[in-house]
Amino acid sequence: MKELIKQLTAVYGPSGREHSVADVIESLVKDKADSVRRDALGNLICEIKGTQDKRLMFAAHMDHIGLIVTHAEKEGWLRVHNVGGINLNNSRTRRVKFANGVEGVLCEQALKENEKSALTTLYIDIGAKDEAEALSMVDIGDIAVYAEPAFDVGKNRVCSPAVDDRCACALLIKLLNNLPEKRPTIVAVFTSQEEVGLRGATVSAYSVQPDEGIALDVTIASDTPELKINAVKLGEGPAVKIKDTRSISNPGVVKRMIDAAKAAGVPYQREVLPWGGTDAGAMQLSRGGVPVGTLSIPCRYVHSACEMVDMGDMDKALKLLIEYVRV
Amino acid sequence: MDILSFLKESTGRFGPVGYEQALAKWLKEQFEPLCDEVHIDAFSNVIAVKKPTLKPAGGAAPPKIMYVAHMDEVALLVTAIEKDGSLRVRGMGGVDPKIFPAATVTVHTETGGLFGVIGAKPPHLLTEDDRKKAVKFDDLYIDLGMAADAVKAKVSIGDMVTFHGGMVELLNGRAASKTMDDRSCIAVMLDAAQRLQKLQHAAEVIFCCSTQEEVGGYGAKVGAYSVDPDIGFVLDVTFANYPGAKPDSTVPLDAPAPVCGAYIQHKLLDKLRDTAKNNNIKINMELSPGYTGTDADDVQIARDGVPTVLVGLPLSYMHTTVEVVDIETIRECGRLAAAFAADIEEGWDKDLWI
Amino acid sequence: MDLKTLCELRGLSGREDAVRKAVYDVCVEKLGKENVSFDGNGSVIAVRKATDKALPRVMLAAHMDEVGLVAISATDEGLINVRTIGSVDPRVLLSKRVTVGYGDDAVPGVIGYPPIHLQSQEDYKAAPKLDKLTVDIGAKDKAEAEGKAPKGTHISFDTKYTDFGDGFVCAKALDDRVGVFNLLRLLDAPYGGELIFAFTAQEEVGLRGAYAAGYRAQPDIGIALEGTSANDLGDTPDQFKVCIPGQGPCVSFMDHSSIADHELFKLVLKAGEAENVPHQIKKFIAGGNDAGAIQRAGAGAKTVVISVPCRNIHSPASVCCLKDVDNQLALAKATLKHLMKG
Repeated sequence: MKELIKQLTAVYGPSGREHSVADVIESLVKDKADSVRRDALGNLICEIKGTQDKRLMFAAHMDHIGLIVTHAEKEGWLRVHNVGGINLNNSRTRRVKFANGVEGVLCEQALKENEKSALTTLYIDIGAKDEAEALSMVDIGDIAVYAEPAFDVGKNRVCSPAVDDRCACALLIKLLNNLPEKRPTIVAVFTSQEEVGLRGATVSAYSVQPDEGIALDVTIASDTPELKINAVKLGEGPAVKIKDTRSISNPGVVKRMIDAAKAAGVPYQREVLPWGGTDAGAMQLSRGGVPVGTLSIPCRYVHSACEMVDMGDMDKALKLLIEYVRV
Repeated sequence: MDILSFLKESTGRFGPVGYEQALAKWLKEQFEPLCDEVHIDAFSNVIAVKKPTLKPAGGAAPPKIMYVAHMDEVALLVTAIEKDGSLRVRGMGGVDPKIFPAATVTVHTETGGLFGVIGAKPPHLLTEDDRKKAVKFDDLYIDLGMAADAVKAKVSIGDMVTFHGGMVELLNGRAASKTMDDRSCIAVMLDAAQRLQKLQHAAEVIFCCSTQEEVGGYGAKVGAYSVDPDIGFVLDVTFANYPGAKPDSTVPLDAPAPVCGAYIQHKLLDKLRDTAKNNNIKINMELSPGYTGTDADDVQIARDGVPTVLVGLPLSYMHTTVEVVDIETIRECGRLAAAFAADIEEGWDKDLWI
Repeated sequence: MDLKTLCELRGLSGREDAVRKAVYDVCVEKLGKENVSFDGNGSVIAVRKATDKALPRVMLAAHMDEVGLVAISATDEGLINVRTIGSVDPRVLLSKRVTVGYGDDAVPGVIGYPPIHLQSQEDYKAAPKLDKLTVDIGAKDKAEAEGKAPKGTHISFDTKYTDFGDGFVCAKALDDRVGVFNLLRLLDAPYGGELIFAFTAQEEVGLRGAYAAGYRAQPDIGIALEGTSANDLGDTPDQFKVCIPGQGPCVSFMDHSSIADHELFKLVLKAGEAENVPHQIKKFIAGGNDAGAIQRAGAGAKTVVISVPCRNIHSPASVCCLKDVDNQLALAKATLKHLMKG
């Protein structure tokens, strides 16, 4: 599982430009799927028949956050805007890379007295001496992403950009390779543009028409110094989401997830997130409504270049999902 | 219809946003005697259908009008259990933490409800600064009167917490309770359904008790998709006058308040106002320049669009446990809703757009 | 139907009736009554069937509604209190002329302000607040004002469409009557696939009409034709200029409501190059438009936005360059041509 996460987090795929990620994932799942297709927004939709007609949709998003180039200054600096939730704290003097391989440094300009930090004070230095050279290296509208490579931390943890949500993509791929025999029809959707508003899940749920939807995503682990956003900790098992700002998990789904955790013999946590949402928020509103839930992977430093998850939590999440799907 | 006893019972029933399943079953039973068919959909919306009593002349499909009022209530949920056994909470829907010091609540656990008290620092220990500060969620804690171990054995993170606020009758036909938002508008729909037993109507009339309005009109959105109505008629509470209110932001308590604004089909609204006039129903107009903050926002853009009107039931002290409504106004809203349904005839949409 | 007529029609979000009628008549004339309809939000949807069904089904959208003001109440002295329909900065409202109501019942009004001589230091320095501004129609008391402008009455900017400078025009509602103007001129555009022309309602109050239009048509591709904000004059740093009137229609790679389909975005640029249509890239991310709604309606569509740069957007005196308007049409036609090339 860890190697799969590292393989997936290395692929370039900010919101709206996920095709490379979709290509890699497709190559890993197509043998298991009865049908694989892409839709207008680049979602990768894989359907695997089951022994039941019930259609169970899993959503794990392929996209990660980035910075889109809006302007090149006369001196060759690139000005940017956020794609998804960019945290200024995580964006000063960071190594970044573009789709075509060009690398640079994301920095903040020197601020005047009383001037506040904002996205508009950031710039990317790609070593161009002027506007013309900059625009010969990248185009306006190209997207830069944090470029740290993945690395291991402690006994069982891994850190990388894009762990949100490639770790869940890895989880979903593993699930597809370990499905119990008696199960509903599984539609695994590797969604696009979650970070900019759950857009991929909105349109894919419409065409998939699921009876139930489960989002797989990271959630904030609050076990770092002075952080008190929720009661979720790294290493204490996957988190069953009760509520976030975009969805209230269906109580029946929550109960079945907890029953699955017990059946699998794995610990679980209960999660309430005061802000943030997952693809469940989009799936639930599709057509005549869909009962939804989210299984969350606890993650430290979400939306940074060093998002950290625990491999024990990942393995337990997989065991829980296998029991969840089993009829 | 005995509106007071419906309000007393319904406002006391458990139905926080997202957890309306049991309430939906009870509401289904309330509509069954008045409608031809009632079912509960995938989102726990109650959809009650009263078929037309008049056959359309040309054999065309009858116009479908869908009334919507939401059944969910705002509440709290448990976000943490402290070392001393007290509970931390956050709102489910838009809740003002300031109303909670010295309030009592029920914490709904897997094994049943627990009585809880939301603490308030004794005045003797308050500093001048303390008194000036507004209470925030981080300041609130629920006291269950049990030691931490006992609490942890019973209470889980994510458990629902509902407010205490049983109905009390006030002077001049007014009543106060929690959750008049929006069960008082469900009362309007039941009242209208009852009146329709005695009226002829060419339209198919659907009453939808929607879910999860308080977090974004979700039930109405998916309910309108399933029902696919020709006309949307949304009922929700609106702000009644109070001292110090900003000008033009409230309406009097004693009359229904239809809304005009960008999301409201203006010719349909003209028709509604004619219905009010012809039936001697006093109304006060309210303006929503854009977003209305009600289920109307979601009904209006369902599928390929639904011409929609919105009628507000004035209510004082919204989202507190002492919401006040005027019973006669509920009746007048019901009368307006029923009369409007009866006024929808074939060809109602002839000049809707040009 | 010329741009001047379209800009001078009055139709704020929710009451696009006058624009709707004008658009409907032209569509019926060009495509036949059986191919033109209204959807549940009052958008006009005109369909031109495909001659080659293998080509993508394209929805072209422009919104009929404009921003403005709405009456909420009247003062005892007969002045009208207002709110805004759509996003309007109160600072552009001082000392302007407006029209209150529609059709034969409309009356002229003015938005006044306390004379400079009598303003305190504090007031002079403060920005005007919307709830302190009033419209004066000359009514002598509250009853007369409420009679002429009951709650909900729309109040539009009163601006005469004026050509000025070297090919510039000053008018109200360039956003998005330029789009409507061009969409009408696209009714006979060369394209072999199905074309769905969506003249949408209520874009300015949340992209409302486009969701319904996108849902019903379920196109493969959506192209929004808009008027967008140019911020190029004064001492604005380059980073914030957004786009420059006179340099052609601008193509957006992203705004707050959508990320353009990357391949489609590149195709539009390439089409502009190949057909020699001047164009620019919108260099700031701001605002939203119908493309965002079309992209997410139903099973989704690939979308892109082509806009005419407009200075002073959402004010009584917006300004654009007429060459950009014609080039928006040319770029849309070029895009359709290149879509046919596959």
